[in-house]
Amino acid sequence: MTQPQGIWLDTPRMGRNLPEAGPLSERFQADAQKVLARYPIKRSAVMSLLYLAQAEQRFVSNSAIREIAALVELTPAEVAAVATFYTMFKRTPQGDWLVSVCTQPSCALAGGSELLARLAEELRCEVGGTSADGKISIEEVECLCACDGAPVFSLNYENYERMTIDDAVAMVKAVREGREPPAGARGEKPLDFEGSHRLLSGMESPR
Amino acid sequence: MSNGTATVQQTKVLTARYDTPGADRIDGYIEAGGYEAFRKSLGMPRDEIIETIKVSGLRGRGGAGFPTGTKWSFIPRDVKPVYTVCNADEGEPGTFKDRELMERDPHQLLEGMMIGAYAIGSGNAYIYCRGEFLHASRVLERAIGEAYEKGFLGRNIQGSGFDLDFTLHRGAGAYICGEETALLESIEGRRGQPRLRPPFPATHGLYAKPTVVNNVETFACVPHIVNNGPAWFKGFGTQKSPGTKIFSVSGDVERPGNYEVPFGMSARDLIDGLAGGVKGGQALKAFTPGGASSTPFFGPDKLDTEMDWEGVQAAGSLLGTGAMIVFAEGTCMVRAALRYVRFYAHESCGKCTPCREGTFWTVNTLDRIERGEGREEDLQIMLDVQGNIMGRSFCALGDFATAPVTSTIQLFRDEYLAHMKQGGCPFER
Repeated sequence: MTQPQGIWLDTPRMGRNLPEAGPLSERFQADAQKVLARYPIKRSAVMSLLYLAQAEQRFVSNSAIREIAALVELTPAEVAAVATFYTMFKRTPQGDWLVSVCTQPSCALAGGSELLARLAEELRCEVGGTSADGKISIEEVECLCACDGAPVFSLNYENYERMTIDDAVAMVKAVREGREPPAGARGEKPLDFEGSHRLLSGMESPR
Repeated sequence: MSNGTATVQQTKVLTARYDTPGADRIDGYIEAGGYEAFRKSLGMPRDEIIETIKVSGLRGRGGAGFPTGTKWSFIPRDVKPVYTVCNADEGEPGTFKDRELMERDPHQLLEGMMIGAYAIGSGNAYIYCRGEFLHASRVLERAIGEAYEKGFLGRNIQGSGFDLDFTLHRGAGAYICGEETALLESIEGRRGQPRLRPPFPATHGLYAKPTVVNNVETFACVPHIVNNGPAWFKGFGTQKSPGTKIFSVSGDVERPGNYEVPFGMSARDLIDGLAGGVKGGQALKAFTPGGASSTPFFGPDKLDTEMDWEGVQAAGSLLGTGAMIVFAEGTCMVRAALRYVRFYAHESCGKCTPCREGTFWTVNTLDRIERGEGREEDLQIMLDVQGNIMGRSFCALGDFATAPVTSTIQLFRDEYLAHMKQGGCPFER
C-alpha cells in the first residue's frame, strides 16, 4: 500500500546514506560531448547524461551528479533536483534486470497486483528493492500504455504482455537463474541494463 | 453482450497501414504514398497550409481538443527561432494509441510534424517520447535516421531551401510532463513542473521562443488532411468534432485494443460492437469514457453517449484521450477509485499545495475505507477535499484527480457504505 509521503525524506532517493561510486569513465566523458552537441543549451542534456551515468554505474551516484553538474555548468543541487524528480533515475544500485510491473486499472483487472506480489515473494525482496543476489530489481509502475496486453510488465523496459501470472513468474525466475529472456511483446529481446540505458541516453540517435 | 451491434466497422485512416508489411520503414511508407503531403506542402504558401488545417476543423487529440490550425496561427512571424514539439509522453492510464502509432507507422507522425514545422517556419522539432517507451523510441530513432538519409530532414529539403532538424528527447517517468509547459521544462533540463500561463507556449515556449506543441495523434492526422483536403476530413465525425479518433478500449472486454472510428460513434458500439462486449457476458458496471484524467465514470445508462467532445461533456464527463476502461459487475469501485487517486498522488509534481496535499490525504482516506476502517463522515470529508483541489490547483492534474472520487461517491455510494458496514471490502477484485 502507499507509504506516507513523509518517509521519502529519509530514503536514499533524497541522497542520504547513498552508496559511493567511483569517477565516471573516459568513455562517459567522450559520450557526454556527443550528447551535449544535440542541444542548443547545455542544461537540456542533463537527463541524457543522467541516463548515461546510470548505464555505467547502475544508479545515479552523488559523485555522478557532481560530475554532470560541472559538465553542464549547473550546481550539483540543480542536477540532483532533476535526478530525484524523475522515477527512472535510480538512487540505489539496480540489479541486472529491472522488472517493472503495472498495477493501474486495466492491468489490475487482469491480475497485475497479484503478479507484483508473487514476484516479490519469489525474489524475497520488497517492491522497490533488489534480490539478494543482485540479479533482479522489482518495481511497481504506472500505466505502461499497453493496456490491451494486460497484465503488462517489462524487463529493462522491454514489454511482456498477455502472459499468465504463473508464466510471468516462471520467466523472471529463469532469468534470475541466468537464462536468456525470451523476446518481448514487440519481438525484441530486452537489452542488458547498460544497453537499455545507453539507448535511453540518446547515444544511438542519428543526430 | 454483443447483439445487433456485431457489424460495427472501424474507419481506418491513421491506422490504415498498421498491417501493411514494411510500412514502419521509409521505403514501405513512400510506396504507400507517404511523404507526398510533405512534398506538396513544400510548394504551398505557409498560410495556405495553416488555413487548410483550420478549415478541416482538426482538434488536438491530447485531451483538450483545441483547434490545431488556430494554435499554429498564433505563432508570430517576426520572432526566430520557433520550435515544433510533439507531445509523445503518453501516460494516461488506459491510453495506448500514441505508442502504437509510433511503433507501427512512425513516418506518418514525422511527416505530420514536418508539415507543421514548415507551416510555422520552424527549423527545429523535438519529439518528447515517454522514457518507458523503449521500443517506440527505437523505432522513431530509426525512422528519423531514414528521413535524413532520404533528404526529408536536414538542409535544403527536397530542393526547397527549407532546413529542418529533429531531436528525440526521452522522458524519465514523470506523467506530469504530458502537461505541455512541464514538458518544455523537461526538455530544458529541469524538473517537470508546469509553468504559469500566460505567457503561453505560442509566444514563450521552448527556450522562451514561440512553440507549437501537439499530440502524436494530432500530427498524424495532418498528412491525410493535406493530401485529401479539409472537406474530405470533415466528411468523418460530427460537425464540431470532425475526423476519426482512435479509442483505446481495455479492462473487462473480450477484445481489448485500439479502434479507429469517426467521432460520434456510441460508447455501446465501441464496447459491445468492436471490443466484443464485457468479458464472459458479464454485466457492465461502469466505464471511463476518456481515461483517468478528469473523466467521471459512466454507468451502463450512459452507453448510448455519442463519443465526441460535445457528446461526452453533455453526458457529464470528458472525452480526454479516448481511453475507455471497462469494469464488469463484481469490481470494487472503491478500489478502482483508490488506484486512480494513488496514481495522481504519486504523479503530483509537488508544486502546488491543493494537489500535493489533497491527493495525499484522499489516498489515505480511501485506503482506510477500502480496508474497512472508514466512517460515513469520511465521504463528506473527501468531497470537501476534492472541492479544495478542483479549480484551485496550479495545473489540470489536480482537477483530474478529483473525478474518480466524486463520481464514485455519486454513483456507488452504497458500495462505500458497504465497506464500512462489513468492516472490509465486499468484493473479490
